[in-house]
Amino acid sequence: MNATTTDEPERISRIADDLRTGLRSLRSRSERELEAEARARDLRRFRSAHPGAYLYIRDPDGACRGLRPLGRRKPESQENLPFPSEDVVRRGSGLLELRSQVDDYLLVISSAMAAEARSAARRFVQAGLSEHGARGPGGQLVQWGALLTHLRGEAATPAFLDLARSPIATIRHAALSSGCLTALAEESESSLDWILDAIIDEDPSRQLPALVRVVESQCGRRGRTTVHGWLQRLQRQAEGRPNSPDWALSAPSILLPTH
Amino acid sequence: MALPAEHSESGLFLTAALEEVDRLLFEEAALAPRGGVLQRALEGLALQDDVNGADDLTLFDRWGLEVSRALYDFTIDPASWPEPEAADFLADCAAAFEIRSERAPELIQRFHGLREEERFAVLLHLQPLEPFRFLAYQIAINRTRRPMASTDASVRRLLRLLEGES
Repeated sequence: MNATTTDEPERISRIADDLRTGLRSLRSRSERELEAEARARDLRRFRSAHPGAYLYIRDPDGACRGLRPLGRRKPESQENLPFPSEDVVRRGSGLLELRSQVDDYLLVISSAMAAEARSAARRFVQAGLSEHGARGPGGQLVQWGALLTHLRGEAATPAFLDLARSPIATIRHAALSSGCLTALAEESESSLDWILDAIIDEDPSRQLPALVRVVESQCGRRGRTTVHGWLQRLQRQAEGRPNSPDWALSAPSILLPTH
Repeated sequence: MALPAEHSESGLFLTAALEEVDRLLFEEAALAPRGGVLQRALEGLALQDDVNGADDLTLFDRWGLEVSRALYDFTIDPASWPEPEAADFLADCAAAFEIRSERAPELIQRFHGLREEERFAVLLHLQPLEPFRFLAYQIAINRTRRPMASTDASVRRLLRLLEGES
């Protein structure tokens, strides 16, 4: 698009008049609010376009897809990022100066995680918890804290078990799938059993990626018979629920490896 | 904070600017909420320091770049647009292609991965439908000038891509 090539000054003048009218009508929104929205938009673009984001970013349903094995090879291209990864901390801090709801903290933390700026992400988590506390929506900040703890090589499963008792469904669902994977990594069989039972009681449709990993791993550790029994229980629960996903209704045959 | 909503889908009554958005969207063979694109571009313009003293052509040029930026934002991550009109647009797209509404963001991303002539063909499929009537004028004046693929084949290909088939 290049207006300098057009020979339609009247049309351009008409559109420019319209734009000036629109700009006047925008005055009801403060400059600060507009700036915050622009920063948030840039960070969302950064997060969605960053090749490392898939390691940490939750899907729209709130199931955490993070906690993949560290050192996993990632795509290299960062061509479409709206700004370089080094800028993410500065831009995130700028957004939090303008606006600091839990969602803003989550955006800034997840962007820092995508950019591998973990110490900054930890600072953002702590700042968010100081401001919003750990209860209610603040539980989502605790989840990031637990993930960072796990990535430091320390035990994080107890934190996810606590979060799995949250009254907020989104937090419970994410904590269960994250807790599944940390319990596996930390070889905490009793925690894993508790989480698997809790998943059955919850809507299992959001836990599929974690379940696939758990089933693969547990077949080797506990044997197919044990895992088959657990999947049968999951199937029975699914049969009792309306709108259960197909994979849950046939869990043993779909999730259990053929050999 | 939403702008007054009594006039247009964007809350603004900027007829000439909205027509220009339609033209630019069609030029790019893009599928996006025109009102949302207009509003985001205007907000981007408002953030520029010296915009108030800019002459018509400069204002128009800068706004055009903001339109491109808003459009790009939507095509790469439609689900991240929180505006209600973006959700309405996605719901309209889902209804037009008879898919579940939660698949609409992926539909938009898949659409923008098609070749240009296929995207035009899909727009041709949409323009008789009420929410997409704004496409009709652009299609009428551009139909003979732009290469377009077979509409049925392009729509089938888009839906196949959505189902993960090659």
